[in-house]
Amino acid sequence: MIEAKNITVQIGDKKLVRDVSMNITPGKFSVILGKNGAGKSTFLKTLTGDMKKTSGEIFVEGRRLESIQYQHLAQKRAVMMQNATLAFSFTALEVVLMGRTPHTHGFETPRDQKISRECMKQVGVDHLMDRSFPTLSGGEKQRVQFARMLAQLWDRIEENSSCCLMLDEPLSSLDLSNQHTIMHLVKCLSRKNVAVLMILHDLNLAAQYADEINIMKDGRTFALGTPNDVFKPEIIEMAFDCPVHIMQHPHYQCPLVIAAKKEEKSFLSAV
Amino acid sequence: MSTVTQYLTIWKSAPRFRLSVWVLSGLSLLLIWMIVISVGIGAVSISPIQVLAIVLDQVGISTNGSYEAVQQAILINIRLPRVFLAVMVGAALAISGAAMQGLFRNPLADPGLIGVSSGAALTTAIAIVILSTITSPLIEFLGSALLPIAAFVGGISATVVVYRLSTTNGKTNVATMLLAGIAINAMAGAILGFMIFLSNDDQLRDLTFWTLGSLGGAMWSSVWVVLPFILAAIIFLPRLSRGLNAILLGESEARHLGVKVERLKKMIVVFVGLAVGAAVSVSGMIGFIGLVVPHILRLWIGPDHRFLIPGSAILGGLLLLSSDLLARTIVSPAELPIGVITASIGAPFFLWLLLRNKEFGGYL
Repeated sequence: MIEAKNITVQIGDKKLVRDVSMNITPGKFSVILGKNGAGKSTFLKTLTGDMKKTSGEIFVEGRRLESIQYQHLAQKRAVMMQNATLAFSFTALEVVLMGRTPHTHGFETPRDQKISRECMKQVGVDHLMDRSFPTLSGGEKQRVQFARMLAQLWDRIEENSSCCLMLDEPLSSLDLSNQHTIMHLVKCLSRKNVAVLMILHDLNLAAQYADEINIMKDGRTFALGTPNDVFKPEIIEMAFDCPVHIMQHPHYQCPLVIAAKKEEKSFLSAV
Repeated sequence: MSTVTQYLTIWKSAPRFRLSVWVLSGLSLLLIWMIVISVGIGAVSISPIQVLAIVLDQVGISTNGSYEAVQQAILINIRLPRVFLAVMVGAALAISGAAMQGLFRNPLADPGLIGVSSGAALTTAIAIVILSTITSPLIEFLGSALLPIAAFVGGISATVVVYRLSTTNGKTNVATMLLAGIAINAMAGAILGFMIFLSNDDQLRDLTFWTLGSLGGAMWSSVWVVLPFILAAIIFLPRLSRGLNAILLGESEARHLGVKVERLKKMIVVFVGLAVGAAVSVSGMIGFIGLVVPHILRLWIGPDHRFLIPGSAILGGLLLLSSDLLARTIVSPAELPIGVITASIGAPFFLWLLLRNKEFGGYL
């Protein structure tokens, strides 16, 4: 679906992304992990076309990203950015309806309405439908935005034809239960011919749900593989500069990561 | 049949959609009624039936309506062009305000932010203070068209400068545009101040009245000249509504929803620049409409540009028409500057809406 080949992004003399390649295919749930400033978001923004790459190539279904019209792209690819803000008081339902923008001209049809309501139900935000979006809590906003992504891709998901979902930390404001609701939904989507790329911070969520994990460090791919491949103490310790214990999850066939105590000077001793 | 039922379900389940349709229909009817009423009011009064008879006779449909020749002359040559001009200028200012507030994702934006009004004010001041004192064949040839032309050229030039300053490699940075607009406005203000310093008492009075706005000089010729610019905005800005809605989520978000964001920004600046430039050139600076009309409507029917943009045109026309009616009647035979009226009708209404919405939390 989306193929990124040797992407490098340089701003001034600082290389934010160095030679990263990734293949995002339908049916696969890919996750990018890494420290703050490792280049995760920059790489994702390059893939979405929001940032210019210095070198490398991006292909969407075999065609160069730059040659595809926004509207065509929007019909099969949804992108959820970090902290989207909206100061105007649209209702939550109106925000989800905006996901239908690439599919209908003028006013939304009854079908758009039906789809949007269904998406809100799927994400569990149908009770917020008539609430003004700016008055929602951070987590509620994030879930409504996720419902908007779902509404955008609905037609493709229904037809079982391939499409792509890119998410930059979609869980950052969610509680435990909602984190798993969204992850479970995304996992189901990835089984329905959706290519998923998600940036995450929670290693255990990634271990439990992802099919492929790309751990980035200093703009490079540090490790790439299945959760069992990349969740090795030496890899995680190097990538995150944090000692960890890794064990088998008691219930699932996936690793479980626990951070160990950092053997560093405490702040207090410096005072 | 089932489609009808489905649309009926939307109609029933979307109170804001329903409200917007009612409000826009109501405002349109009110505007038509106001046009008929206000052409009849003045030193010579003309009843609505006479208005209808005169207009029908004029377009070639004979009626047996009884009216005097003087009524016909006043209606056709004085009242009608003035009323049309008021509606058009009001619509242009308000629709531009709505588009700018969407583009800047800020409900406090007004059309003046892209420099168009201050640029127009500056060149008008130069025309009043310097050009009108020198004798040249060109200036004599232009005659009374000198001020409108100066205003239009100044407004458009300032807009082009602001747009150029904020655009690199075909991408317009809206934040830079805001700041460039502030800088250009300040610079124009400084030169305007210098013009005021140079002016004599008569010129100063002309200039001051220009900045308060007036539709006193309305003629059919001015209607025809501004019509294409304002009509372009009224026809094309509503087509950008869905993109403007998406832009409220953020520029990248809009792009990911398939909106051609750069093209949208350019088109908004072009239509707003032309419409406001044309409006300012025939009526001077009329404040308040561009900022407050979209705001009033947003508090009333919500932020959806598909209703907000056409609704702003209607309400802007209505508000300016009513203001002009007051401006020319309350101190008749003299006339008040229209800016005085727009602010004194609009501000209390706006405050009332604010207070009413305060209890619901959001005021945007």
